[in-house]
Amino acid sequence: MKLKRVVAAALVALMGVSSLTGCNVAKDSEKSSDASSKTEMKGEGQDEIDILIYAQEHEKAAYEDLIKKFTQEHKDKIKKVNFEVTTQDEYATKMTAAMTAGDLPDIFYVGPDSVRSYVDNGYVLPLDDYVDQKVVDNLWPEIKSAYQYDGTKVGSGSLYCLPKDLSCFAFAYNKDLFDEAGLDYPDPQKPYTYDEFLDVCKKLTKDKDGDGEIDQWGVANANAFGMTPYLYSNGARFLNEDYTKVNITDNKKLKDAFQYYVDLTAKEGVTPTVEQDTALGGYQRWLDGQIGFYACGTWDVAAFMDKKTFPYNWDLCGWPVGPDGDGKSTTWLGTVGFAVNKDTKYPDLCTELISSLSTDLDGQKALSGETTGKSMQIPNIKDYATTTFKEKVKDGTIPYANNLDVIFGYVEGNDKYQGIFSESTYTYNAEWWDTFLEGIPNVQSGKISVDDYFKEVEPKMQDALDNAIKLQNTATKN
Amino acid sequence: MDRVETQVINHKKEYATHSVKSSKQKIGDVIIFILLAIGAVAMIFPLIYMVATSFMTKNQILSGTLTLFPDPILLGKYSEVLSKGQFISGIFNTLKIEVPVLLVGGFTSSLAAFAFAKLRFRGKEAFFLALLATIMIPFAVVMIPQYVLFTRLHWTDSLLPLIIPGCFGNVGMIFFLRQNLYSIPTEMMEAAKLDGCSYFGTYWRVFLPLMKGALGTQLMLWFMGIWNDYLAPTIFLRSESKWTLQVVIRSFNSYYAIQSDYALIMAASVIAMIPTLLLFFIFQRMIIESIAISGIK
Amino acid sequence: MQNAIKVKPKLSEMARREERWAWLFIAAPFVGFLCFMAYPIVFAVFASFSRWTGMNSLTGNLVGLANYADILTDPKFWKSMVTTIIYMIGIPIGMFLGLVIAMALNRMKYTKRFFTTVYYVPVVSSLVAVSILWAWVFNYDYGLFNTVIKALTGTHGPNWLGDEVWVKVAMIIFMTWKGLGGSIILYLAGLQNIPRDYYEAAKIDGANGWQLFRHITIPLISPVTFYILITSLIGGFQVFVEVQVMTGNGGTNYSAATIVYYLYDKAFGNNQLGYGCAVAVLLAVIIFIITALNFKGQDKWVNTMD
Repeated sequence: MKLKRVVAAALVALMGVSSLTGCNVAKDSEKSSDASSKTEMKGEGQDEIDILIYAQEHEKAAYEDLIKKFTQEHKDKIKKVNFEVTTQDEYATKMTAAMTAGDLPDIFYVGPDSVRSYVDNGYVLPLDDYVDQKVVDNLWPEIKSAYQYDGTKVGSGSLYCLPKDLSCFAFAYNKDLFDEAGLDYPDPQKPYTYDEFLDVCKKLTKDKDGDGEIDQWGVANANAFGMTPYLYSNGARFLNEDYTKVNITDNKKLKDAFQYYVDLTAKEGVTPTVEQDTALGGYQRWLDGQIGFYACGTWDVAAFMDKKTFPYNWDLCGWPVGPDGDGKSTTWLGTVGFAVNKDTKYPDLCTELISSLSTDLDGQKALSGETTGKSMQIPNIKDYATTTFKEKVKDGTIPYANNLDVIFGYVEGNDKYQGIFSESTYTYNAEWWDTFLEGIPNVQSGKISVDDYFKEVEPKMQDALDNAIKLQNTATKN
Repeated sequence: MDRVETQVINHKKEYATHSVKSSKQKIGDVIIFILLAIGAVAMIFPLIYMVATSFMTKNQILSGTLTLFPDPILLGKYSEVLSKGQFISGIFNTLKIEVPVLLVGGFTSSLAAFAFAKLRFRGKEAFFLALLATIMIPFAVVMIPQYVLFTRLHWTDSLLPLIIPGCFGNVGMIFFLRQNLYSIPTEMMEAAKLDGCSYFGTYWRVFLPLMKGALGTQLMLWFMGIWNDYLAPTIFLRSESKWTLQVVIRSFNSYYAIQSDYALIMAASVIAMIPTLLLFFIFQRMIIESIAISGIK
Repeated sequence: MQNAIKVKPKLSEMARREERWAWLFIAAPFVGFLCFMAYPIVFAVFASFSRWTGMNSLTGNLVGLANYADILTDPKFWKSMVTTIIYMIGIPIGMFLGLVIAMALNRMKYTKRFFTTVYYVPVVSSLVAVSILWAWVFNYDYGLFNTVIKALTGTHGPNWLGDEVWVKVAMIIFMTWKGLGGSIILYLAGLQNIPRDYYEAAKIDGANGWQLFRHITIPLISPVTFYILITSLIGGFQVFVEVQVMTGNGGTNYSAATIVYYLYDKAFGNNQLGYGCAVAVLLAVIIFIITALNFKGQDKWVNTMD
């Protein structure tokens, strides 16, 4: 009996010590973060809101301003906003961990690819009853439909997210290299065909310093992002229409387009070799002026306009169009959206906050560059984007490439351009796609032919896809 | 107490080395010295490179020719790192974990090691094996359930997930200290009993002073482990104000690598390495000797 | 001698008191063990029988051994297993170098401390920092290695991190470099424990340097070797951060991925937490078997002096 008491006493003492230090720690760090705090996100109310997103530094600054403003406006209600920013790599891990622990923040990102699983498992709040219809009507239709889900199909039904952005992956060229080579600039009204593009690339690929080694290339592509625009622009897809079957070996459009794509490296040599690419990525080479064409996401514009980062003249153009598609230059669109936890204690406050994060005019002006001079995205508010934003680009208030219409072409769609969501958006996870990506360097370096690679990889991709479908179905059971 | 001290002195004598060298041996020594020096350069070159890079401009780093001498010398990166609030708060957060863990964890571990080595009780082997088996469990196995646990305890917005488990002791340390205590004769135990010491008194007054060296070594290694840990903090820590040093450095890497600010990352890494290096340099004799005494088996 | 526990049929009051105190003394680590290891392990084993994604219900998706069956038929699992084992080539290399360097250091009088620190630097430096650095060292065009190779041979060196075979060599070099200091310290300590007289006596009998090494150093240092072997094997099965930081995506065609990388990729990259738990359980079983086999085999070569 005595022993028991001793054990208990010791444990209590031990816990006491550790919890004591624990308390101190918590208090101290709160103090120190207050001291260094540039972010006053505290009010006098009761409600405490947790936010978890990933962001670049300047995006973070813009959102911090918005949250501060919001906190001030609602300081009678809000006690504190915990704004946690992580990196894109770690975001998924953190969210998974938070979900398993039943500890989701009140506001977080959900991409269109995971709307279904989040809704099926009951994690996100339908926004229909909370968000002003005017706000919704002013969103780009493409994004709105990406976040609508009716329980069986994405594209209609309740709205679950307000977009953080709608981005597109356009193409850019280095004007200075064109001038040097005496070439005409690409025509934004008329994207190149495959053949024309190859031709121009060949003329841009050369050995500038005469040491016998190529040091300037027509184009550089990052497989994970910069390959699908070539393939999509030939009308090629990897999956069947309901995204249940991988279809690549019996798929002439895809095979031709992929052959064209790898030949840029393997046969024509108009891109850096696989080895050179691992040594110094295409992005860096483009910044160093070694590359004629390179991809330009809407989020890249600010960096490319910054002469310290990229001291060359450049402009936007369309991805080359293959012979077998519908003749439109096609790229992928990206978006991620703000969602509200279904179990949040403050649905009204949270939905109001995400409306502000998503569509506050000042916020959009900052993120798209009118007030900051750094354009990270095109504005989420359609009215503003198609009017003032365009004007401000034209009159130079917002540093931007001249051919802004290329981006609007991809986003809005027209007879030359279109944007689509990549196929992995519609599958539970992207493992089938990663499986395809993993071996591409071997095809590009000529170690394996396209035919053999397709034969080898197709069953593996199908396995991964089957697996994803299985997991998708477990989700719906809840 | 007298007996205790003579024991310690005997210990030290055994390991003192003494020899007079012949000229043949001396030539051998010179050759070995040269070989060791070459090896040392190979070992440390990447780090010299790291220090050099921290003074270089981006253009020089990416110039494609390997140089060790920054030209021009860029000093600003160190002050830039140190002026970042994140970096300083990262250091403080790490220290806030170190201090309670090392104090409390060092105490609980050494107490348990004492029990395992010197006391008789049923289930000793079983308890010990159970503890030891945990070394074999990859962190990946326990990570998710641990996170669930910490969240339910509402610890995830503080440093507690990194502090509390450590306070319960460290298996590697218990193992090591147990080995160390085996080298101290059990008669000490009897002597202490005769002196009227309680069990805790025996630990506190007799054995704790005797394992000072080993305990210090283990604490130092543990300190370095916590200092350099990054997987657990990444997963368990939520708000940026709680980030530890390594998480901060890693975030520099993902923020600045795109903008190629390698100099900044390297400067941060250099600063982060200094404390561990200094500790090791100062205490290395003690570390090696205490490992030797513990006789690994 | 040392751990002679006298088992008495009936415990005296004295012994009982001792036992209670002992239990109290080990209470903290044991409670820690229950909360932070035992409970998570049970949880992981349970989750390994579920098609749990982290989002869906854990208990509502129990599938028996299906996860295990899927793992064992997944070529990626076997590929990462083979890679993990290939990386272990570094273990004997590291042990050999560690012993040789420790012996060399032991002959140094004034510079021993300095050199030991230098060799130990990689161990205490943060993995994140040195991985960034080594990615540079292995860079195809600008890296230290290929610059040296080009200067010496005039030909371009291999694509260290991009090639399916060379990436393994690169990882082995990196991990050996990182771990070498640890074995050196342990061997230095071990060498201190070998009594001088053994060498003196053998020398008088006319033994040369190699014989001393072969017949005295190697057998008497074998407990240390055994310890390093065990801990490196256990660590070797858990390699992860190195791969993640150095190759980003596990290398071309998954060529650099280890089992734990595979586990993370599945669990967090593709939301298959139950599956990930099953991989973890398999891994723990493998490590357990290997360690047990080692302990069984140790009688054959590990010299126990006392």
